[in-house]
Amino acid sequence: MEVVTLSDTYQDSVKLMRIANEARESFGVEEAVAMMGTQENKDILRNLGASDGVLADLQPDDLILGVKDDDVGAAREAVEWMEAEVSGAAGGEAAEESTRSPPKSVYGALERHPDANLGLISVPGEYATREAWKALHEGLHVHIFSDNVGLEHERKLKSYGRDHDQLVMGPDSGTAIINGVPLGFANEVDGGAIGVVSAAGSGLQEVTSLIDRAGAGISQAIGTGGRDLDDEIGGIAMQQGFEMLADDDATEVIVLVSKPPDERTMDDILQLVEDGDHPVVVEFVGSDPAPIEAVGGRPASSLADAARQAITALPDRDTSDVDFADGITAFTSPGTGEDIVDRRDHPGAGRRSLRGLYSGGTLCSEAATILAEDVDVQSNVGVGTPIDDPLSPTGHAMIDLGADEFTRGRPHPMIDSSIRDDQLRGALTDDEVLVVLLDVILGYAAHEDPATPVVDVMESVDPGEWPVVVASVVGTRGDPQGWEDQVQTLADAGVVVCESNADAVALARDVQATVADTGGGHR
Amino acid sequence: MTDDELFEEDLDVVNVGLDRFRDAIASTGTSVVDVDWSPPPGVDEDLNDALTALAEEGETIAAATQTAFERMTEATPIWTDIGTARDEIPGMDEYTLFHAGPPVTWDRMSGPQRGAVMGAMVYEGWADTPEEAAELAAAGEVEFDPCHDHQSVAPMAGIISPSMPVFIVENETHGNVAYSNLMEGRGEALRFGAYAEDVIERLHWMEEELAPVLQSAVRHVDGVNVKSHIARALQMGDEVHNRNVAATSILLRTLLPGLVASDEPPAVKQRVAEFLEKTNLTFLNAGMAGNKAAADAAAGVEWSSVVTVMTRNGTDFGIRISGLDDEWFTAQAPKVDGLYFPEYSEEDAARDMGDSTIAETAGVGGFAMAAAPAITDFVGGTPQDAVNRTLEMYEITVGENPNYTIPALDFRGTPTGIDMLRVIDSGVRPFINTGIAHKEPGVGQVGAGLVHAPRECFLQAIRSYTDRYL
Repeated sequence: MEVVTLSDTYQDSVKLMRIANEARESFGVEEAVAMMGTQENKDILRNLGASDGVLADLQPDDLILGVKDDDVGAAREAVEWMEAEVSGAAGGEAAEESTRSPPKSVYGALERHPDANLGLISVPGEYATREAWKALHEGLHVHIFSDNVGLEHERKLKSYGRDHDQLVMGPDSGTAIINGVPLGFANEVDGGAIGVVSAAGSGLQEVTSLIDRAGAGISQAIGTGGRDLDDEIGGIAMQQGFEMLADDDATEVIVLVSKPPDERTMDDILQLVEDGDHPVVVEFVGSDPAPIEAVGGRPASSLADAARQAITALPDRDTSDVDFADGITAFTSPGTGEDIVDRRDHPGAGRRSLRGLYSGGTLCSEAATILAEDVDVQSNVGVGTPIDDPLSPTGHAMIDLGADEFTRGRPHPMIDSSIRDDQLRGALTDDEVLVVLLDVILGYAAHEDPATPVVDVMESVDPGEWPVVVASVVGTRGDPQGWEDQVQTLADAGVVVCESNADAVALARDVQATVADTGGGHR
Repeated sequence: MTDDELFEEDLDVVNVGLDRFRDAIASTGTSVVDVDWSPPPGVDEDLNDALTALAEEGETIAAATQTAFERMTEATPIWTDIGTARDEIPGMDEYTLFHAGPPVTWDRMSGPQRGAVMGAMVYEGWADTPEEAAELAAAGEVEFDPCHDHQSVAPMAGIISPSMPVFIVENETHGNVAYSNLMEGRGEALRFGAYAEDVIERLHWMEEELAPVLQSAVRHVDGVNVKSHIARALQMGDEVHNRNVAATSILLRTLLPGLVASDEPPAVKQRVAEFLEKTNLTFLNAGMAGNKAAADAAAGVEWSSVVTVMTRNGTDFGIRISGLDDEWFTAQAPKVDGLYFPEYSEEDAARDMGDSTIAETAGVGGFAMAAAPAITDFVGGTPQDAVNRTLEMYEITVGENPNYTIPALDFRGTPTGIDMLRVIDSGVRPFINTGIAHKEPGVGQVGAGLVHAPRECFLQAIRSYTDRYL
């Protein structure tokens, strides 16, 4: 047996056991021991075959390293390694592994950030309610991005938030900008005096981006989730958000965005508008302007109009001119429907359909709503005729490719464009399609370069032929993708880029009307 | 915080879910902490719905767990006396043995626990030989009951028999009492299932010489405050489960006047002194009784999801929950991830065993790993690894122990009061330091290491909890 005795050397027994175990494993020796020279340990050593000579002088304060193996060389080597281990400190490798693991729960996160004030929740819907409760009970405001949360849960969470002065945004709230911080999908916008409360994710992005591009700014943009204005919820988040903005010194003008609210909830919201002191611009996509006007609100005809009216309502605003192009000179004026038709051969009798391929649900609703005024339009967003198979559309069809049915188990098209790429490819080779309408949504957390997949699909077609592709780019100069670059990329590929979704829809309709007037009355 | 303050503050965001949202927030220079979230394992749809319903009751549950936590941490266990099990512990009848862990029958009992039963029966004179003891035990001649059902705890096999001397620890704050047997010392011991003649002889010696000396000593010093001893030991490198060197040292200093003053013959006192001098773990049993007294004070709080018992017997691992009376929730005891003494390896190891997890239940042991840098080789080798173990336990505990603080964490209180709901949702399991017994009866300790409480116990407990409270 190979033995090394280190006199007057103390090491904790746990460290010694670890060293001995490692020596056994690394060197494959029969037995390795590292222990203090107590009487008990001497007995163990004797059993292992240590000589009496070694054992005789051993004191309890001595550290013994011993290795037993038929291969004396290996035993020697193992003992020397153990001796180095005993005297050595922990190496750099171990130190690097020592970083603390990330928190596994809201509680662990709060232990590290005790002053946290907002929880952003985007776990699958069946878990989101629980995480939201934890955050609320810990005193946080919450923004719930997750969808597939039950209505009853939503009502309880929001009621609790209202009763405890905690804001509950969502569930299914795609975006918000609180204190200038993007929550979910949101754009980089300047600070300013316009406060937005929106039940519509892409609607909020469109309005806030347009306001920024026109040179004004946002105080807060609160998302409520798409069902907030259903009577089952009663607009709790919109009412709370409205009151928060009304109390906020930085906010001069309030914009409300939603699909049309349910009846009772509409009355409650209108009451708030009537009671408030601020100019309130209301864009409840497709709803009757009269009741809004009746309470002193300012009904908007589109998201872009809401942005325009909000800007012109600002107290220090001395002009009614609003330029959504952000003064970018490279921006090419899209012209009129007639200009577009004139630049191409006549499409022939069979090509008349408008095809909207949207990633933003509210933008899709807006398109369908505008078009439904004078054409028969189908959609999967509850406007016009419900579409049977959204992925095999015929006629005028506005499709929200970010609808729940397409995002279960896969990423939203704002992140991964493949579902839209496929639909675009199909539309470009569909000889009934006259105009393809697109939204290209920029901002935090979105696709890092959403124009490029569109351009890649278009490479295979002649941009001078039909169908014509008309798009708007939702975003700002400050967005990570850069609004100007994205517009330029699309324009270079022959996409007709409009300042807003409303403009894009109007242009598409104009093209369709022009063709209809010149070549037979297909509607 | 109120909603009109939100706009006045800098945002500090807790992100639960998509990484890209964290990245977006961070890119604006805003403070954000990302939760490494994953779906809780072993939770089916029904249980998931139940957990969501419980989350809604979060305030009620939080108040109840806070009550349990306060009772646990406000308990003041005092070791007041040494007595004999049959005279002191309620329910300790003749031909009865208390054992570590949840209830178990002879046929399911682990090797070392059987060995300890056999040794204890010989010690009591119920059998002449270990073999005879095994036959009697198999024939049902002995009543088995968990220590935990009798205000008691005992390490490893955890056998307490009627004649054994016991620590009597009283919780001054709430008035409840807890008991533990006396530490036998190193080497072959009954608690590891050893039953050789010298093991039995030592048990008799402990009864005849050690107990009377300790009794007169503790009476002389008017009791020993277990809580303050644990608190001081944590400042001196113990976590008071696997490492008790400091605690035992200060305990002996506290007892010293009483030991000297004892009327026992000098030769007896000499032997006792020599025994205590080499028995680093002497404090373990007293500390366990102290922690048991604290944990019992936290039991029986309606709605409280705090764990008041974690224990194992080499066969099963069992827990109890404050708001679920005395119901046991058990799963197979895990194997210990350990370091082994010479000549032994994992193949020799029994499954996890002992009531000593009362330490972790009360916020020390593995939960105070950061206090014990000397034994960090169990957890990866560096003091930072030990710190990280403790930090991880804050995730699943109700609060920070105001009495037990850790120098390396700027004297932060140890994570105390395991909340089973947090265990379920976070996937983090309680972390336990422990000794390892040989799997066969009669051998003894073969190593030491660490183990995580099995998740299955908590899944069972949560089902019972939802049945009761939803």
